[in-house]
Amino acid sequence: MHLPSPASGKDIPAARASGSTRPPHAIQPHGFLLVLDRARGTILQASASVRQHLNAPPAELLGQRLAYLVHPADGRFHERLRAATQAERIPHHLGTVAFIAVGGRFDLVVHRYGESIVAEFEPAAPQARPSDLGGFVDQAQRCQTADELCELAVERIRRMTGFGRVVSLELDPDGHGRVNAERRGRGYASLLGRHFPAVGQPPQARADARAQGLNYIPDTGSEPSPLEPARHPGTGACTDLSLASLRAATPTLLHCLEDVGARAAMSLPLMSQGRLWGMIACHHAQPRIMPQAVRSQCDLLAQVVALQIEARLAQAEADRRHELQRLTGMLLAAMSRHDSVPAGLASVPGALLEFADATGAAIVHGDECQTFGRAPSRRAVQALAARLARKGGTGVFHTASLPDEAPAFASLQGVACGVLALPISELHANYVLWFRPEWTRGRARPWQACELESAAELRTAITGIVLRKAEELAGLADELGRINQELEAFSYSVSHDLRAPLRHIAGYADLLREYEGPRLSDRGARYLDNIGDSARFAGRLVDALLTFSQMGRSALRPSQIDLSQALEQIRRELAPDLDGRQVDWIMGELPSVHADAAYMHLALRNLLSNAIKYTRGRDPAVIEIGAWPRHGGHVIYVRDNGVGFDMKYVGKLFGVFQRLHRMEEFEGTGIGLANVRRIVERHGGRVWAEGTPGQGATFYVFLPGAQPPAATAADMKE
Amino acid sequence: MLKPILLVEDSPQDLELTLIALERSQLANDVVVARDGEEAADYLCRRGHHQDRPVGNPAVILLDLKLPKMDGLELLQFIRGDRGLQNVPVVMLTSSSEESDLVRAYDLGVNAYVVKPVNFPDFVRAIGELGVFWAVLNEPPPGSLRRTAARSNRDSRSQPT
Repeated sequence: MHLPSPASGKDIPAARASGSTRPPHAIQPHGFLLVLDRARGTILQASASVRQHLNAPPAELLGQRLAYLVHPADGRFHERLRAATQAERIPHHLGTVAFIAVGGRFDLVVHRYGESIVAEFEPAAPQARPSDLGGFVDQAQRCQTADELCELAVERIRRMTGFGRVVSLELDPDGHGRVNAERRGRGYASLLGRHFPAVGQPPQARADARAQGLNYIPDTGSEPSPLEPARHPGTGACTDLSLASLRAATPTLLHCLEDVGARAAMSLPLMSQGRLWGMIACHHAQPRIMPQAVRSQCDLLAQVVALQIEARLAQAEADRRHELQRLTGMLLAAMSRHDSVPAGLASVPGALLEFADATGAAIVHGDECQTFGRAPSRRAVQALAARLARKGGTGVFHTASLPDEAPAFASLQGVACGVLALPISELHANYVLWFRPEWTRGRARPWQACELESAAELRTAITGIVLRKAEELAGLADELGRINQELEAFSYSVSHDLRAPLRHIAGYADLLREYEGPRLSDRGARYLDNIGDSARFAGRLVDALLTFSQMGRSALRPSQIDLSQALEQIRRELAPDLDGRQVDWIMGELPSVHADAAYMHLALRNLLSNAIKYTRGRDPAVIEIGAWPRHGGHVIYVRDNGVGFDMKYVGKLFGVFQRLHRMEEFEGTGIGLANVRRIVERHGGRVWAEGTPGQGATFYVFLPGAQPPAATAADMKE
Repeated sequence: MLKPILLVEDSPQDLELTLIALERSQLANDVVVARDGEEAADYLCRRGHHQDRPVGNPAVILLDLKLPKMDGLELLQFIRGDRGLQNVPVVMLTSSSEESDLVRAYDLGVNAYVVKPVNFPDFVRAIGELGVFWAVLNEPPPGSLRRTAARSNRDSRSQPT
């Protein structure tokens, strides 16, 4: 295991890359390897390098018993080998041995391979100076983060080994790596911060990393030493050397090392929570021998670091879970404070981003889209949401590589390479999305398990809030229905009980005038007229109020209305009100709208009637009617050059029984504009007005396109 | 002899005003007054105070909606459910223009519906028109027993008295 090719470097040719997964069948020549029959201890295969280390050709060793080639030459040595290889595939360092045939001692590492023992020998170096591992552990325990631990480790390993450059790599679960710490000598290029794609590391190979442990290549230029015979005489197959520390470097690895300018290399896996969390890689520009003892110390040190990292990760995850709980609480509180889920989330953008440890976020709600932090454009976010909606699924969607998932969105990877999306409505394509930028080539930092869990919890909570709000609305609708019934009862009694006495007053006043008129004084006759007039006016008020209340309750029957035609008809109806006055009508282009014909007629008639009424005394009176399109609907306006009004009273204009003029000046019940507003609002529209005293007024009506009108209490009841 | 008009009205003021209006419409029919629905039913069925009245249904019933004891709609339902009465024209007189009343009255088979106007001259005109239409001009459905009776009424009117 070594540093793979950096992301910025050349791509590895397929032919060379494919070599990386093939088990190696040769070893490096700085040591030699023997394959023994585990039962008898005879040599079955020997590496070609026994020539230079034992001064003998491999053929001469085959069939001999190893126990009789070493000091002391008795059978007990084989018992040691058998004892050390009880379990499969676990290498054991058995110290040093001396051969009878040659001088010097050899470090021996053995592991079992089926019914064979693989024994590796390397010339032993003088005892290394003991490393201060205790001091290192003290320092490691003071480190707060994995990055700090890596800094400490690369610094110490470079001091211990003298390699030209020592780096540590953090790998994501898919094997993509990033250099997070580095120590290097003069002449070595910096790899700090560089990203490496996962190459030649199938999951099995990564799992083997623990068993393989340290990997050491003293000279990339050395000639690999094959086994003789090439095939195992017992199995007829090539012996698997993947666990041999002497195994030859793969072509891929050699290529990678060449890329980073290394002639000698050593790598140490950092295992955490059962997976390869990262590794420490050492490079040297020249061949470099690293004694077994030093390598063992490095190995131990790497294990200490890995354990510490594991502890930090566990702590970090616990902290993150705690933090996620806090943030979830904040988001939920914000959502219940606001009318809608999007408004609630938008009110705490910081917490929203922190929640997913994201650099950008977005809320897609119907046609609206809000973005926070570094997010793609609204259009891109909406396109993404639409894609998610098409894909379906009500669960949390997440990817560390949007380009892989949806190549159409590859251009977003600078801000949105990783995407976490939370559907927040069962019915609509509404989402909360979080974004992470590219971290390694085409990939973002992956979403952590605890983040995904919290997102799912948040979704459940949001659904709960939405449901609760729906229930509140339903409750409100019930309440409205009840109030509406009360109102109906009230208007019934108004119409029936109040109207009758008014009718009696008016009737008797008329009769009195008829029968007693000649006998009344002028003053008495005037009083009688006033009584009759007042009663009739009160009757009109009651009728107007009833119409107004019915307008809020009866169902709309929308159809397509040609406004030009409707206004022509209204003008004809209102002609008598002109009393022969001259009015200059300016009629603009008028659309056809989707509305209840009778009610719209009433509303427009009210507006025109007002315009005629309040231009009394103007010569000429000018009344302009026009329209323009807006938001898929239309704004219709009626402008006059009449008495106008003071904008400070504009709020009273559309109220029931609100009048801005004295009765003697302009007659009326004061309910006309309230009717207009009620009719327009029932159609989902809006009314407003502008005016200047003495100069005229303009009334605006906005009618939306042919959408369902806003529900009223009456509609909800139905 | 013209068939009478049955006026069912509880409010004394409305009663007086309606009678004046009927008087001014110059209808020759007698007007029988009932002050609540129950009394009107007694009249129609010739029972109680009215058990001795001459046989025959009124030309038209002018019926107020809101009445004590049996209200206008209940009386209407009763009339339409009675084989002997079901073809008598009924005109609803009311202060209310409540839609639900209107719909209910038409469901029960009312012949006309008049919201009493506040303006007295309008009221006189409305009552007059109703009276003329329903008491004089309206013919019962063809084949009904009283078709001949109705015709004879018209005939009798056309004869000089």
